[in-house]
Amino acid sequence: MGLIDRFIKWFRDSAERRRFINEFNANARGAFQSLSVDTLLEAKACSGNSDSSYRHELSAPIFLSGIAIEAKAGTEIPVDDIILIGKIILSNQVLVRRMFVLHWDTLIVRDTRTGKFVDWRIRDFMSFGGLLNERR
Amino acid sequence: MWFFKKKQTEQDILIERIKAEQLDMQGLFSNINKRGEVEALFKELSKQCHPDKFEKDPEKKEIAQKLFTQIQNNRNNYTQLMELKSIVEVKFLNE
Repeated sequence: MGLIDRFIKWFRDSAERRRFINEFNANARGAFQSLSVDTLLEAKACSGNSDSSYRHELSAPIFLSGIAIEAKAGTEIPVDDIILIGKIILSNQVLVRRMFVLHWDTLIVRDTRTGKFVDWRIRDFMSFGGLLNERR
Repeated sequence: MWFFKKKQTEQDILIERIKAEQLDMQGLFSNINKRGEVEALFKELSKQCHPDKFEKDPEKKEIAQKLFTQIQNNRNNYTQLMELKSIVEVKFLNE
């Protein structure tokens, strides 16, 4: 895929990226307000990891290739829990595939109050699995 | 205009399919909230239906093998683990 093609695709999908983040945040707020979760999470686009091993074919420009899930309020989360939240997000294949095609290459889970964070390479958790079988 | 329209590649079709997939955000937040219980539930289920426990019964061993694989694949998914727990209870514990 040429550079211009990639840029056009990324630009065309920017509305969809915003919609994904808004949907995530609306659900996170709803879950927090209804007391079904103890931490308010908020997603936002940010710069991805600069390590080239994080990049994939659909990666956005580096300054927007990361998606950060931040704990904003509620109970503070220790690093072990940050890792667990990341693993739970990354075990959801529909979510991982969506993040991948929406040009994100780095998932960051961060507690804004303590400043601690962990990041993951999204492509490592990507599996087309059943989706490819369905097409046959 | 048709002459500006690029032919859809296999990759484009796959991307469109991925974008059309239904996201279960509520399930995700429920899993995040139950994160403290996920690990314990995973260990309990892995122990209950480890295939090595059913060496003498090939039929049960095969069922255990399938369930064990599913448990490993859903290690961080509380909702799925709870569903698997009810299956494990029916298959192995209610006898």
